[in-house]
Amino acid sequence: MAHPDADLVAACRQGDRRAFDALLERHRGWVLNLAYQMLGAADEAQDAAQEVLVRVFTRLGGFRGEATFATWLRRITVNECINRLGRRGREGELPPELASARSSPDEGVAVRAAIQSLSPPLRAALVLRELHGASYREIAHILRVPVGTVRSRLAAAREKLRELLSEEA
Amino acid sequence: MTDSHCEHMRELLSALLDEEPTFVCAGERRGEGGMAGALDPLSVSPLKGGEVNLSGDERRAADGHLAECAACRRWFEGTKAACQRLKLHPVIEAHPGFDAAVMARVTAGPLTRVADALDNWICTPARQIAAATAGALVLSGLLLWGAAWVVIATSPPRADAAARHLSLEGRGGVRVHPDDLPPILRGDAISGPDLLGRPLAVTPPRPLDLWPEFLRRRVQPQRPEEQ
Repeated sequence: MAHPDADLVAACRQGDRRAFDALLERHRGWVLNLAYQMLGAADEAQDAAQEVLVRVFTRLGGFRGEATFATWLRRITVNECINRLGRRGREGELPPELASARSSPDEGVAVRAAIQSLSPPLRAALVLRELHGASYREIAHILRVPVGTVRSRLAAAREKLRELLSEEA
Repeated sequence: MTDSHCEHMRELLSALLDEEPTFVCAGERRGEGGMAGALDPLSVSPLKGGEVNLSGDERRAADGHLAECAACRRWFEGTKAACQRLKLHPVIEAHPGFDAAVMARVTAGPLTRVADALDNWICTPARQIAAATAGALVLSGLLLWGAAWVVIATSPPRADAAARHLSLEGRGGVRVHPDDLPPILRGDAISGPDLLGRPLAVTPPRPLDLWPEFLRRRVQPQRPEEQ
């Protein structure tokens, strides 16, 4: 039977290497893909995910259990990605390989380009909801905004996404 | 139906999209039986999670609007399709050395982590400017402090220090040398009547070489033979 995250976190704090491996194994994949969906570039996503996991495992003492471990991890991941997007300079700047990809015949690439066209706050809300199944309340907690703001951001993000994908179609 | 009303309703319709997959209606999964507008909101119940993003009034308004407005029905269906296409986003796998790299960094010493964190923190131009400004301020503060220390340590005693020295006379702070006492002159307030009746045995003051001539003459007493 799989241990809940809280048990693994407690064991990890005691220095249990197996708990560390189990947590890493359980969360590595989605952290990496959340970073990829936010950043749009696979190499940068690998760096960001590594940074997030290192930060999380070195600061497990700072996890107070107010939210679930996964929510805490999502919040750190989204913050790391938003910081990285800020470092790129202009908001919403596309990675070079996506700059002309909206009309790509590969639907995956077109979807990726459409997501990257959204501003980071809209992108975060949409990705968390549509690709990670986060509830409005959880998104509000992750992005530190009221639930009403999540609702309006999601509406705006979907509107823009619909326009982009219908243009491309 | 006005555009502004539709704009307002689309936020509710977007929230309705999020409630849709988690509800059943009259024993069948919602969405299979046609448009959402055909559903009685009171007959639906949450299946999992119990997340309700619309109040009862909002839900009724959204369902009612969807039933009436063909443009918003198209918007609703188009948006739902676009959101479903998001699932086509490519998925990546961690590179082979990923876990080992994470482990190595987690077990690295705190200094390495601090250096990494600093390196990570300082990447934005604004933070670089802030760090450079703070560094320049600290450096100039240190230089000023050092320069002030050198000036104070090497400068000669100041005139106000001598004045402060004199002000301590008579308070036990400084012993006054007899040569520094002023001579008592005729007409001085401290000279008593008995003193005035006989010639004063006045010690001539030390020559004040540094004083201007006119001051020296004024200060020096007249000698008895000159009178």
